[in-house]
Amino acid sequence: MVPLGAEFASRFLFVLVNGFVWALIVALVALGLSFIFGLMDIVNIAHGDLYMLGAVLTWYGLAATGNFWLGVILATAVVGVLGIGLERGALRPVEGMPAYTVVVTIGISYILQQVVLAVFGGSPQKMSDPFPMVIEFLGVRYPGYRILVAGVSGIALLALWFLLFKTSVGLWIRATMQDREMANAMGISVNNIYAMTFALGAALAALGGALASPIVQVFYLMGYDLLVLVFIIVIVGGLGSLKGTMVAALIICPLESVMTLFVTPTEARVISFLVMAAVLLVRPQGLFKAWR
Amino acid sequence: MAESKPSRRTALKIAVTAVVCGVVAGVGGWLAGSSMAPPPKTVTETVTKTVPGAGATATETVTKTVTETTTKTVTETVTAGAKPSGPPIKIGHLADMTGPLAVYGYSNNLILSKAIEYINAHGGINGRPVELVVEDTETKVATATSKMRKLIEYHKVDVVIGSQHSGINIACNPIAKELKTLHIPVGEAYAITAQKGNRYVMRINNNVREQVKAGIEDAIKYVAKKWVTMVVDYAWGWSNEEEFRRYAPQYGGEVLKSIRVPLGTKDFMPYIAQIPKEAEGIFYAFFFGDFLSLIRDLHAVRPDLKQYCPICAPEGIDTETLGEAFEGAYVLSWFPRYLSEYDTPFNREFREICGIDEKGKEAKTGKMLTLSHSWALWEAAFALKRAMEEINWKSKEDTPKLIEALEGMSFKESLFHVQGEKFIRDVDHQTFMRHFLMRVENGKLKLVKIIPVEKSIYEPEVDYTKESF
Repeated sequence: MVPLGAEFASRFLFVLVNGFVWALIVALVALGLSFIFGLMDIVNIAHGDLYMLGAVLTWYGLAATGNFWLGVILATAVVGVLGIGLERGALRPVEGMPAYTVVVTIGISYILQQVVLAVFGGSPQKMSDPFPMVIEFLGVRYPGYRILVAGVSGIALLALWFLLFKTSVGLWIRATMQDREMANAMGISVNNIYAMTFALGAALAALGGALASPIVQVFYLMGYDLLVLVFIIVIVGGLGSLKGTMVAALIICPLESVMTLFVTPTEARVISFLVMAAVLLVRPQGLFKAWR
Repeated sequence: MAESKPSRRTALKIAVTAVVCGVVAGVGGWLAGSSMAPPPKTVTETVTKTVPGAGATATETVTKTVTETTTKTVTETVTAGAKPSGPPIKIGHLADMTGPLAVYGYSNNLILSKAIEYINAHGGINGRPVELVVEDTETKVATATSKMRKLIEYHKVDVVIGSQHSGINIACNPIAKELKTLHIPVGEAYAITAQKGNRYVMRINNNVREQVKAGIEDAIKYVAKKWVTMVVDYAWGWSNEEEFRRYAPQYGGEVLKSIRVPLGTKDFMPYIAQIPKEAEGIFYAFFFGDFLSLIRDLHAVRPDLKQYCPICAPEGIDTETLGEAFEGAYVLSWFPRYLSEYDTPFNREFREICGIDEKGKEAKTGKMLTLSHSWALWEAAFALKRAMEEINWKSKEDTPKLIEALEGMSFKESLFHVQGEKFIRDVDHQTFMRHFLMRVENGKLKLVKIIPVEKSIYEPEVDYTKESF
């Protein structure tokens, strides 16, 4: 039975908005994953944990400075720097061999989780709302912070686009993505580009986690839940395709959210998997082809 | 640059990287294990304390109800003086020391060990010392069942006090029967002392059916008529939903919709969106992070909804930090956490002995305890002591006699039964007790009224006394 009328319309609007808010947060994290894979052939299983680390560090940043936004910036920066270390220290020897990168990033994932468990503890923490305002639109109340997060995510995505397509660093990155040997021959320091890319990908995941931290529960295993969704999005969008990732995030998250009007949220996740399976049957390379 | 095959050197690098990862992960795990909580190990503590002055004597007069008809009165005396001697009576505690219920595990074990300490300082049981053996369930059913066997078969405990986790309780009940050992679970799912129980299972705290029945009349009177229920999607949550739906219509309430939410859900908004507009009140059953997520999003989106929940929701959380989101909520408690709301001489002494401050925190560490649940372990220890002394417990062979002694036993409010008067119903081994309706005022859980024992009694669906030992 489909409920109709004004109440249904307002609920539809509500879940649709909620779906888009999540789409923008998830797009940040998914772009990081897609970016790292597209350029470096690294299947980053630890990506969910970098997201988690972003949230945890924001929690600490908030506690230390009293300012949530300062916490977000610190968390993003720290995880970005950590990304450089991980790329240099752990991933460089296995770059270009995706199967090996899975093993190494699983190791990194466990290390990050266990360190957070040791330091942060095993019980989920709930952060206070940094922007406790409620927006009322057509009789629907919606937390203002989520709208703000959507805006910040949108700005971050625009900044990423600007970096990739309007700056020389972006040109180098794209060149390396297309053909690393030729880029190397042209004088681009491929090693530096790699380190920078991984750091950028990690920082995007952390930013996603930092922005999501007041919405979700900060918990050392919070990355798992998201990692599954992010992989669905990256695979549906086409591995390594940034446009595809963006489009897939903006389709799947609102779709999953709207489906919750008709089925339970767990069943809605099943539908996301079915969409993935269907896309892969018809287009095994995903919706969009990677640049390479 | 592009090698088709990894060279030996690359292979070596990979190997070294993998080993380093493994070692670091191992160290991380070890660190985690050691800092979180005590690692899963056996703690065997025998407390031999110097007995306080000979003047410290507590006398308790108690009534034992055997079935509903005959009543006999016994006098229980706990005397300080004789130092317990002889082989110890071993009590096993299946404690959730790590995992999602670790907060409960810590608190339950603290209170139980204080009870045992007290018993040993006051002559032990039948003059014998009591030894507490603790095994960690890791809040996992599979681990818990093997630890249950370990307690009984390896440590040779005489009695097992169970986990806070209903699923673990249900899984351990058949083991108790198989190994002919008394199991005192502290979880709250109804089935533990109904379809999933047996004669070796004795619950000395309340269950969900009892809780919902005790609170429903006041919930409809004080909170709302038109309800929505929202529960965590597993046995304990379902139990709450079912019981609320069962009893609400009997007292003029109406449940418009029931929503189930998976444990650890990241975003409650899709579920909150399902709440009908005309709902006036929400009855929910969640704990820790899920509870915090729910009330905050609820406050943003549906501040008009009046809240009612069991104490399990805010248990282990300092409600004074929750602000507006929880203000005015009605909470059904099993035992008030603030001393001021249940200021009896017994409660004062109990807190003194256990080192609990006026807000229900551990005085020494400032840790939030789960006092509204952990009192049950204190009372279980003293119920055991009384029953063992009544039958003059010699060895585990006396388990059937111990169970018969507990069947139908009733307790007056005392230091040993600090929560209040109660009785264990003989047929289904379920304890019936008073409940406390609380309301959140300025972040504090304030007492609205004490709900008497009778309100919680329901018809039994099983009769264990017909089961042979």
